[in-house]
Amino acid sequence: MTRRERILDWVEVGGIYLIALALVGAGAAVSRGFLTLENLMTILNAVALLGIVASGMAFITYSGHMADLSAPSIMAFSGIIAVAALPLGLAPALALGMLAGLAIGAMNGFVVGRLRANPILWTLAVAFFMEGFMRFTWSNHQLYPNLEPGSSGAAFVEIFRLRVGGVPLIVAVMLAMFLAGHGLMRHTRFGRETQLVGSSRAAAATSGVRVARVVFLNFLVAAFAASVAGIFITSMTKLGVFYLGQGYDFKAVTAVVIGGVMLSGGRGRLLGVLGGVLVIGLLTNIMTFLGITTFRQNIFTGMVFIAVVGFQQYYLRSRGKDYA
Amino acid sequence: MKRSGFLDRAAMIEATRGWLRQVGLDDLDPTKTIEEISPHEAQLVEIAKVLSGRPCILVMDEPTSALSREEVQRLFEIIRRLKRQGLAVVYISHHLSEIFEVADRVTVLRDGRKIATREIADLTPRSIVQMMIGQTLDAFYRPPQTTLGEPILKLTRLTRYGFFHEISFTLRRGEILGVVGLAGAGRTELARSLCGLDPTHAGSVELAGEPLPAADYPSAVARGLVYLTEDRKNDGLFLRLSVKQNLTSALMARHTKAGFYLGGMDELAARAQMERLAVTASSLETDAGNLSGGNQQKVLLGKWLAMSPKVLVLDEPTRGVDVNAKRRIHEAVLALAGQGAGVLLISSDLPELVGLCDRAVILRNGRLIGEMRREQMSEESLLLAANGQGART
Repeated sequence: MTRRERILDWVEVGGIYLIALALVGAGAAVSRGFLTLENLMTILNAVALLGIVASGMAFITYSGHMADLSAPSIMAFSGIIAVAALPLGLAPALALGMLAGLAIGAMNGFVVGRLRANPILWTLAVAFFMEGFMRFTWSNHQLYPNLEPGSSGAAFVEIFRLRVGGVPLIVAVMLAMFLAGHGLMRHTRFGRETQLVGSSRAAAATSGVRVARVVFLNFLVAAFAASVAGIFITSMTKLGVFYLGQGYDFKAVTAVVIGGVMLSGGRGRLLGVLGGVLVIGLLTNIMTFLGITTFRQNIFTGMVFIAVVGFQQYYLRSRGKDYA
Repeated sequence: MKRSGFLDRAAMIEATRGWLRQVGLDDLDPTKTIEEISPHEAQLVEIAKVLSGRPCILVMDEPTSALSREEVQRLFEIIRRLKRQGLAVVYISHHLSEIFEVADRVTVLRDGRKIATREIADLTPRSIVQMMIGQTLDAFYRPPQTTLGEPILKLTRLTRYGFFHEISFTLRRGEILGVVGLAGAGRTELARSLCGLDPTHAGSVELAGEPLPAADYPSAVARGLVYLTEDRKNDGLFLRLSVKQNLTSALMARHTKAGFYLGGMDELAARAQMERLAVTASSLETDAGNLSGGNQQKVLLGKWLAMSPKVLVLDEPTRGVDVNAKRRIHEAVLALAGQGAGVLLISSDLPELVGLCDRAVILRNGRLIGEMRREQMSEESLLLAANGQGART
């Protein structure tokens, strides 16, 4: 690699962190309460759920499948199953919750990988189906864990509130997932093959890559991340219900794309996605400090997404890279 | 066909019926979709569509590749009728028999230059072939092969219905075996199926004495049987990935230890192929899409050379590349065979076939109709054989 390319490479990943740094500066200018350790930890805590979902979603985008729109239903479903299984004890409940989410991921992976369904339409259909399924099965009710002290339910709602060495567990889990995901993407055969599939599915097939299996595993990774997030969000709200993950699909894709993963697949880094998550968290936090309401924040997040995707397309076309 | 802004469906159907009658499809329902009709009907519909534009000149480029013998006859009748109606037709084909059936005058092109234009009455198949091949270029090709190794690839009555039927042959170590045929003879289909990229219906493939599972290309690659595609832009190169990543994309298994990918070895492996094939690129990190056609083709070949395959199936390996890239590619293929790999070469480039192959099998209409040894091979004999004349079995 020449030095110039090495520098460009750093800008590609580092750029998002420069934006994050600029936002920290802007935040400090806006409010004196912003630049405190407490507020910064609040920001991390607030983006941790999004970060966990995005760390898995990135694999879907990277493999050339844009987005897993069933991520919210995977979150809700794993949470509901975990709560329903709490009478069996905490560990079995968590395991069953994870398995429930992974089952949806396995189905997605099979249908998109082997049967070559359109990923967006398929996962959209799954989300629609799962919402109806969960509302029907639990008759539109919310599922409350038994919160008696000492019970598995009490332990379950503690998960979100646990701290390890002063850091909230969820923040530690998010960071761990980004680190592990980074290793998976850059330094394993699976990650490299995902890049080949994301760059050109046809060329990957003629290179001898087992494309269907690689796609399957990517959806499994995304479902794993969404299930972990589902456990946390259910623990946070102390109830399992069908609408819990709503909105996380789009927000996660936004973080992934802001973080420099190309929507067309095969290009980007997971550490950039972490930067994208931080930027969204900082933006939201600053907007809250400014007294901007949630709905208007959504308008703003949508605009950022449009701007970034537009820029990506412009960048690719201007460099003549709209091939394939 | 509009009536105050709306489409007049009845009139459109009636007009379509008229155009279909022109090409002999009197009984075809105009409201059917192309998917519902057979390939040869679709081919005729294509011609009807062109006629509906009321042309005065019609250019047809290999129009018979999807047609059976009887259908070809029907097409010729249509062409003759159109000719009587005053339409001028330019008919492009490799099939000499067709030329003698429909053409009044013949123009021969070679390497992008016009060689001659003659009345058909002054020509014979042999004289056309001679114009097509011209002088043999240069003698950079291989010395005669002395000893061949043991069999490495064996096809037994391999069949994919509608594409090729009961193909049997054996490829030996160190041998370059040409697969000769006209467009539509089933060469690419055979190559893709024998590697496992496309399905087969009957027959078997053995690699180094072991049967190869059908339609399982990844395991064929893992065992050393690889296919170089004829379409590098669509299913060959990763255009948005670097030259290095392209060159090492077949080394995935070799550079993995316990699931972890050891990228440190990529640089060296890629550089070796760059030098071997003299790839011109600003650096290993350039996107493959930025390279010239010749260099892209070298990278595609280099990707397979890097893994030292047992059998390399080449599908039009030098199509659309410049003379120097072509020479490099030929040298690399010869070197690979010299190291004991078997090479299956599909090519429409006759000098390439004559220069490289130890032996050739002739494919015509999906069947193997003959075989030629090196000493029997010339551009003329190959072309005649592909046209179904003079091949010895």
